[in-house]
Amino acid sequence: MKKLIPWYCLLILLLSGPTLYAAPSAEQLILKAEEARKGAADLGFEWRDTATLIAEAREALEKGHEKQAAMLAGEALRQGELAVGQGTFMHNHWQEFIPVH
Amino acid sequence: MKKISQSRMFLLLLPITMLWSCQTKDYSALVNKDIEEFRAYFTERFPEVELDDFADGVYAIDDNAREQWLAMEDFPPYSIAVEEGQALFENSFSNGKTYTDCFPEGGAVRHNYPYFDEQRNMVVTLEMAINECRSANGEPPLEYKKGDIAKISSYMAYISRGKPVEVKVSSQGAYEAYLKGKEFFYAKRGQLNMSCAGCHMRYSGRRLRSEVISPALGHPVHFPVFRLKWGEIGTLQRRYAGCNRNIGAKPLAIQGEEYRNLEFFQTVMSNGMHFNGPASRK
Ligand code: HEC
Repeated sequence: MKKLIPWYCLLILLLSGPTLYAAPSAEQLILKAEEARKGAADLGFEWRDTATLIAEAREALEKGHEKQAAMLAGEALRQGELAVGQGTFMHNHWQEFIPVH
Repeated sequence: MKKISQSRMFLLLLPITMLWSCQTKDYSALVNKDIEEFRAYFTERFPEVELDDFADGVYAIDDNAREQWLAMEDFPPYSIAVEEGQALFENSFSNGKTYTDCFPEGGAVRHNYPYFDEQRNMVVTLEMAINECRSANGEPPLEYKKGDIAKISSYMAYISRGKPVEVKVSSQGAYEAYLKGKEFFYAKRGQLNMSCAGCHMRYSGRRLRSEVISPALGHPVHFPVFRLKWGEIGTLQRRYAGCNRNIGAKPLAIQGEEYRNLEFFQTVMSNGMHFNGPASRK
């Protein structure tokens, strides 16, 4: 019995490998994108198409198009994160963008 | 020992300095300095345009477009909206009262808006006041962007033509609202990372696709606008939403705090000009 323990360990390691290293699922991406979108909205800096992309990702996932859903959610996440960065930066630096004649 | 007395000293001085700075802060001086710089930007860029003519937007700076526009002014497309607005304005509510019970001078009060309401600590716009008059009289509110509210607002603007713009910023609350509006105007946003100032200052007078970009000076004073593209009359904040959408930003709520502060800032920048709404635009 004791002899088997290392084998068990190896088995568990092999099985968990893919989940540890796999890209996040479409569902996870959608949740992350939605969180980023909310963050941007709280700053008043949400972009125009982010919510649409998330809705489209949800729809694709429901239809079982996992890959397309992940792509759409990934783009929404990228937008959400950029918008949060933009809003945070602008809040602190807007005075530098006043044009001088 | 030394440390204690220092911090005590600090605690003692803190409220005194706070009080002092509150009392001596001259908000209108701060704002007037902004107005001066803002105006100078445009008078240097368009030296041939008189201050009041900036109210005509792109038609103040583009001679070709101005000719067509003047021809259109012979039978201005907003005149129907003004007539309908008058009828709506004079119509009585179900309790027998009318808008004149809320607005003095028969409604010729466009120039009293927007203003900072000290009690409620917020900017009140004309459209908002129209809806508040309705709810005070048990009527349902009107949709904000277009339709009846834009018509009533057009009528009120029409009978207030020539009244001077003199928005006051005379308290800390008002100054904070003003600063928020100012930040909104200068902050870049959206997918294109553009600010209002980016287009309506830096690129004013330049062509963007089929349109020449108007100078931001005097933006609010001619609204509401009958826009040929809309085929109807619309409010200033409807235009804000459109400009936000065009640069890939999600528009904020019409008559929400952000757009009301932006309208407050833009109208303060127009102080000294004269209301001449409604107007027509491409
Ligand atoms: C990408 C450039 C761009 C940006 C950014 C932009 N606008 Fe505009 N805006 C335009 C164009 C083009 C028009 C139509 C031509 C004109 O200026 O009248 C217009 C029209 C307007 C008008 C109507 C002018 C009139 O005479 O009736 C207002 C008011 C306005 N914009 C305000 C804003 C505000 C406030 C912002 C920032 C929230 C903004 N715009 C951002 C390009 C822009």
